[in-house]
Amino acid sequence: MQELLAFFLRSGGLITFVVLEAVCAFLIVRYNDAQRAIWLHSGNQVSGAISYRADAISDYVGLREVADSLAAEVARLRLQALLQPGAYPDSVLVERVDSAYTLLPGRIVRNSVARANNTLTLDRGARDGVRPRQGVISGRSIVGVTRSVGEDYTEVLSLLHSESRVSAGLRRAGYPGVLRWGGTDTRTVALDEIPRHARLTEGDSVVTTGYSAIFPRGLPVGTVDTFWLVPGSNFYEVRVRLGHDAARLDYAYVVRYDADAPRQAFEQRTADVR
Amino acid sequence: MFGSPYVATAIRFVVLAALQVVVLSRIGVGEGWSPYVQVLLYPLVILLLPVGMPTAVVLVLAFALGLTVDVFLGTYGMHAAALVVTGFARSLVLAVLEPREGYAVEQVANRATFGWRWFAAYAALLMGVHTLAFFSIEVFTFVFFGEILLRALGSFCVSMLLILLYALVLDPKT
Repeated sequence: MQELLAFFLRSGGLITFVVLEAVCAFLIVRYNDAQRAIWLHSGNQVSGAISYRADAISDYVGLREVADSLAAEVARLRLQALLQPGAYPDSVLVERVDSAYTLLPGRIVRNSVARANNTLTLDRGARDGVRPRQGVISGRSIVGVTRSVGEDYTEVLSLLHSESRVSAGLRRAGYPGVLRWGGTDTRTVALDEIPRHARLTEGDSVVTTGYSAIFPRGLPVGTVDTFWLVPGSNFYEVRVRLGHDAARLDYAYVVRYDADAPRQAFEQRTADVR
Repeated sequence: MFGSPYVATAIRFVVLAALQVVVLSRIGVGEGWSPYVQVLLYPLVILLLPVGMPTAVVLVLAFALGLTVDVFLGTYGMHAAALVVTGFARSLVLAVLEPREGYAVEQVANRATFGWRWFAAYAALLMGVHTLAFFSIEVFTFVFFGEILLRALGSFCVSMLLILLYALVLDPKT
């Protein structure tokens, strides 16, 4: 005890100083109106600034959540728009989209456009009801078709893949064709099998045909960019400018067509036979 | 009778605290000027403590004296806070002003022991610290730093004058 006291007397100056000043600070703020007012005001300023920062940070952290909920909302609205009978009034291909289709928003967590065979990864999987051979769209164009489905992630065969074939047609000219990627330009794809007697116009909309259960009828793909006839051929060479930039996709929607299991099974079977 | 520095300190404590609250803090120097000239003599009690007194004890004494003044002036904590700062600064100032031959434990930090020059420097440094600390606390925001400086300067001059007068009249030796 004596030693403690001696130690305190020898080197307790700083701690005494701090303690006594703390007591004084408390007294000053507690019992002096002017200082109290200033203290409270400053305190508010500081706490206000701090909570402003904290808000900004939590806002930023919450952006992902906001984006996700917005994506879900967009999916709902897109679906609603697709279900409208007159959504594409000038189209011969489009009729009412079957209400059995639902859109599932997902985030693209891996994307490639630089290779000849491009794939993407979507953060949705079997747990969310994704199955192989379902369409993936961006809303402005189509992204690809699901291939291997994991529990939480799905690999998507991009439209920009040499094996990718999607049935699509010209809205105004009214002919169906097959989308195929040329392998170089990520902004355009080729539309094959448009016969030479079709009346093509630049800017004509290209939409899905719904000839497979993968994509419902009438989803936008892009517009006709250029077209020409190869001498001696019965078919046009058509280049379609995609509605989106595949390199800059953040969100995509898996098109689920729940009511068409028999048709899909049939198509699968015939494909296997072939 | 005043031989022991502790008895002298006790007497100074009572007398200077009383003088401060009854007389000095009631002196007005005219309309609008009073905030700029406050005579602060009570820090003398801390200034004139024995050199060897532990800092912790000095601080407790400073707190007690400051709070006594505060209680009578209704400025709870303000004089105490400033005087605790001064008490803490005292050990630093003593270290800076230490004579070549060092201090003896029982030496009292006054003019009679160390001479005019030393005491004037010592008192000026500590009163500078004290006035700055006190008016910083009184104004309580550094937004008005010019105001703090003006008040500290005015009070510093008048207080130093009284302290030197005190040293001249009441320091017995020489």
